[in-house]
Amino acid sequence: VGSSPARTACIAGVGESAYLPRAEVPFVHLQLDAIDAALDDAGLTPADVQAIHTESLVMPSLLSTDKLIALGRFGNVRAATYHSAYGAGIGQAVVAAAAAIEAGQVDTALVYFGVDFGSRPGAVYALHGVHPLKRDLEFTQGFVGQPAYFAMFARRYAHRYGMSIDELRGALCEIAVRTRANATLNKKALRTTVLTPRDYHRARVIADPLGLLDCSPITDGAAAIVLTTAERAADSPHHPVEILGAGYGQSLLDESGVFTQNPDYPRLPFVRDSADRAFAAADLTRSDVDLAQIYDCFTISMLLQLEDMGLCEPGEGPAFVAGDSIRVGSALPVNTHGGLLSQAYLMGINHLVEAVHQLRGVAGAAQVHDAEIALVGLLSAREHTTLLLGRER
Amino acid sequence: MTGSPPLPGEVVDAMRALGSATALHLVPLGPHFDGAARGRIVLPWCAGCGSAHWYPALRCPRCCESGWVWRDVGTEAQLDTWTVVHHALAPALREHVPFTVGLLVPVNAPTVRIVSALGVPAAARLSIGQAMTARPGPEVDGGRLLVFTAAATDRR
Repeated sequence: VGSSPARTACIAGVGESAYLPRAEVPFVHLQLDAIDAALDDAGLTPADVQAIHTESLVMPSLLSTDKLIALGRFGNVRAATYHSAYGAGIGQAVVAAAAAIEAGQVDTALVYFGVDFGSRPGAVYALHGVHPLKRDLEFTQGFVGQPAYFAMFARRYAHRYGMSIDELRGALCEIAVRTRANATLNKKALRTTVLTPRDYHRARVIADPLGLLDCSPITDGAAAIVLTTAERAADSPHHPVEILGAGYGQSLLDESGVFTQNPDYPRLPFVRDSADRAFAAADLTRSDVDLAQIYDCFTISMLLQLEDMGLCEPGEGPAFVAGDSIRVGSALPVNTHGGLLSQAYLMGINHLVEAVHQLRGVAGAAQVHDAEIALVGLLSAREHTTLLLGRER
Repeated sequence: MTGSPPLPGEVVDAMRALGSATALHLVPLGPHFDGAARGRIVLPWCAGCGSAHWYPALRCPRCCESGWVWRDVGTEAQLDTWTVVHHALAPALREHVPFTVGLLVPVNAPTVRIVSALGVPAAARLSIGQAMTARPGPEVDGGRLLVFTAAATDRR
């Protein structure tokens, strides 16, 4: 982006910890495992890292940048920065790391993120208790937990597009079953049993109309991404991956109101902004994309984003997922690692890792033939980041 | 179809305790809770652009004004969406699932959605657009929640 080709920022390394329903070791071990793996993958050492970037709502209390640096391995860091929240924030961390490299401020940056929701009291559900409006006007009404939020989205979606709940669940079933089929090709996935429509429809109800298999598994785990200059990445063991374009969108509502007060409920207009900006920045069209990794905390959230990211028209998501899509080997494979739904609920950093694996051609049984351009969509409560990644030429 | 709110006071208190005890509201909710005690929907309207805004923010997201006027918009609302929660997503809910919670759009403030536990059986047949009526709910932290139940005639 305006820098010399040698300074173009590339993803040179990715690493993951074990993904577990509940870790038996403190979280820091998972995160360090992932960071070590990413640095190894890039052929770099902790001493090469000059900047650290992470997300701003989960990580400060889980493993802050200062604690990470104080572990004594990152003595050459000259900038440590938090970005926006959850999935979108992970994407913003990558974007900012790349920008600083291309601006010549640093040569190598580390992005890290992980979750301890499997071990944390209250899991992920109590995260929003920091907001007094949610505490006093929602928790007190029994409206707590992301499954309840997205269940309401799902029912409103069905109504808006003239579908019965059974028809909607048929479409969500397609997403769950096909995503699981992809997960069976991925050794790190937590859910690898082949899923049939019968299994889906027999799963217990969590928050009607969403059942257990519409929801991601609560997870402990961590991942990390190393970025460096194209010049430096040329010496890395693996083919570098370039950021072709990035976009960000946000709601004017804060996290208290965004799940209920969006004027276009249940649509996510900031997702469209994010995707349009990324495609414009990359000078690419939707038809250029070889595979997509889309934030799928729930089946319905993937359905909404397929539409709001412009991969199909609003209301056409059910037809889109019923056609030749999602599954590895289809026209547009989505969440080739099994996604949050079947691989692990890592809030999307695992989507970035998988996109890199695909573009390197090392995704194993899930490899998409001739994958050159990957679309990554990362959702948060009120924000969205889209990244278009490409195999560096 | 009418009924009591499905969450008793001690559960409401336990649910509130899940949140941060020290987090303060930027705009005090007293007028809303006072209205709830009378079974009335009372909402903040921006003094600048005249739009209802829920939840109240420090400044109006539409025009950035910071003054709010609280208005009573009656008792009637329409059901915008709902879920029947079967899995307790918080420990205090374990003895109370399944229960129904919905979003209500006040007839006289159609840009607003209010979260409410619905005083209906979990197996009740509900429909989007169904008429609902506000009534006083459980006490919480010195105020009272507003809850909604199906209006006298249940549309099926």
